[in-house]
Formats: sequence, structure tokens, C-alpha cells
Amino acid sequence: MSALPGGPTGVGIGWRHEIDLTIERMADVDFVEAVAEDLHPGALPASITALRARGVPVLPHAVSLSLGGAEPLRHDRVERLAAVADALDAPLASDHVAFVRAGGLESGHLLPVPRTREALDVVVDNVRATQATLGVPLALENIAPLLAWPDAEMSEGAFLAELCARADAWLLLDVANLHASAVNLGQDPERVLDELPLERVAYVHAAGGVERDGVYHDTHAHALTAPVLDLLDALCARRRPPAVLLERDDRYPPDDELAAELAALRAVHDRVRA
Amino acid sequence: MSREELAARQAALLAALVADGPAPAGIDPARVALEADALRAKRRRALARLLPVEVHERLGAELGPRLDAWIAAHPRRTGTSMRDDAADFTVTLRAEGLVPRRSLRELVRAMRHRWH
Repeated sequence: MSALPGGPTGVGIGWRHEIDLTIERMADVDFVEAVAEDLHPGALPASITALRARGVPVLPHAVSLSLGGAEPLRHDRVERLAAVADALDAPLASDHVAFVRAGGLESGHLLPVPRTREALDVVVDNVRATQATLGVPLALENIAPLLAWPDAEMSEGAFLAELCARADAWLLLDVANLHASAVNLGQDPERVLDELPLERVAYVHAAGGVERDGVYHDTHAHALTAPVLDLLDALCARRRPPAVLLERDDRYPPDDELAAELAALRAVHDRVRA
Repeated sequence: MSREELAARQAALLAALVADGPAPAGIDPARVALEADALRAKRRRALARLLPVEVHERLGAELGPRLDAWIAAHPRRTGTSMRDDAADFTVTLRAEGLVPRRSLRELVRAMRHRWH
């Protein structure tokens, strides 16, 4: 399997309303990603339209499909994502291996799925049903867990590998989330990299976070840290992904600091390896 | 574990996280508490961003504790958007006379203006 046809290449940043002008001013942004739920297919923000007019690809990134949820898939949400992807003329869409609703409640954030065979069957069914509606390839992202379910039958790497293979999905590999899993669940991130189907990586997420009392919080509100850049390096040494994207959602730094973070990602991504 | 059993386990975990339910067996209660804090903080930030400027101005430092009390008492139901959540919170403040009376339509317009 080669890279996703028409998929992103180079270095990108998560587009947010608060930094729309910053992003428009940046010279070295190869692509952006926008939270799909924030966009209305018929009324895209002017900044998104301006980037598109300049030829900057805009990828929709969903957070609310609840692909890891055992309750019936919300087809209205899938259709809305499909409409956003269509409006953006995007080469792919993405969401997470997580659940966000159950028992009539919304979590508001991504919660982990038990790593059992039966749960894997549920996620595979949800992903296949989503793909049947979507119209573009779907990439699945690993999350940053704070807690673990008991009785895991598979490692995170094996779970994601089998999910992508059975559902014929792409991987949106988040190296900061991989670091979170390492710190919070005690797993070896390099072993996860060894288990993952790296040829299926459509692109990579990186973000800043903070460790407090032995727990890593994937805040997207702090600077990139060395362990996350090191994991990106370890990934690139195994197989260089087509693209890497910086996510920053809060406590936005000055423009030059954001540009420096993108440059740091580009330096690792472009590093010549033997 | 069938889809139904998984649904029940996920519902129990989510209830523990946002609706004061007991921590499910086998999951570290300290981590459940940590995740609950993270979800509460995320919802507090999202609500604060969506609220009309006048709510921030009227409540000032009182806003944080009021949002925490609101969040604890009102787990977000399926089908309720963050914007609905912010509108419901603001309607409660209006009923208490803490913000000026405005129509729901005006409130929603004010929030949309702030966010988009």
C-alpha cells in the first residue's frame, strides 16, 4: 500500500477561528485541518475559503461520530461529515477510535474503547458503515487516554492494526497521544510503532501537553515537548509519514512561536536518515 | 461481550464521569476522578467561550463556580449541542435576574456572533 492518493504532504496546522489570520499569514503551511463539527458545509468561514483559493488543502477532522460507541451509529452525523468533506473537496476525512456518547449522555471528549475482540467487531462495523456513506477515505486516530478498561485482550498497536486491516481504513497517527498512552497506561510507544501498519498512515498529529503527578495531559495548550518530537523521529526512522500536523487549541502563543513549532516538526520530518 | 453489554459498560463509565455514578469495577477510581475533572474543565472552557459577553461582564469571578455547579447538575444529554448548553445556562441566569431579559433568539444570535 502506498501513500493515500491525493492525501496531505509536508507540514500543516489545525485551523481554528482564534488563529485564522495567523495561519493565513504563515508562508510555510502545506495543509490545514479543521474540526468538522465547527464547519457548515454551505457557509465555510472566509479564512477557509481564502486558504482553499490559494491551493492549501483543508481536511475535515470529526470528533463526534463515536466510532467506538456500542450504540447505533448516528447516520445524520456521518452525512454531515460527508457534506463538509464534499464542500472542502477533501481527499479524506477522519475521526477517532473512541466513544463520546452512551446511555443518553454526551461526554464532550474522547473516551477509550475496551481493547477486546468484541469491541473491535463493533468498531469495525461502525467504521464500515461510516465509509459506506462518506465518499472519501476515512482515517482513524488513536486517542490520549487517562484511564484504561480492565481485561484488555490486545495491545493498542494490535487493536489499531487489525481495525485498519479489517475495515480498510487509514491511520491518523497522533504521536502526542502515543506518548500519553505510554505515560498514562505504561505501554512502550516504540513497541506500538512496531505493531502499527505504518504504510497506512495518512498523516500524523503532534501537539503539546503537560505532565502532572505522573499523568500526561494532552492539552493542545502547551508547547511541543521533547518526547513527542522524539516519537515523531522514531516513527520517521521506521517509515516517513507523508505529512505531519500541529494541533493547538488554546492559550495561543505569539505567531513566531507557532511558526517555530511548525519548523521543529518540519526539521524532524525532513531529516535525512541513513 | 455483545454490543448490548458493551453499550451498558460504556454507559456506566460515562455516568461515573459526568453524572455522579459509581466508578465501574476494574477501572482505577483515581483515574475515573481525573477523567471526570478533565471533562468538566473542557465543558467549562467550551461554555465560557460560547457565552455572550454580557454574561462574562455581569458575573465576573462568579462565572467559574456557577458554571461548575451548572455542569454538575446538568449532564449534557445526547442531542444537546454545546450551543444549546450555553443557551440553557444563560436562560437560567436570566430567570434569576442575573442577566437582562432577552429572547432566546437574541441570545443564540449573540453566541453565534461571538463564535463565528
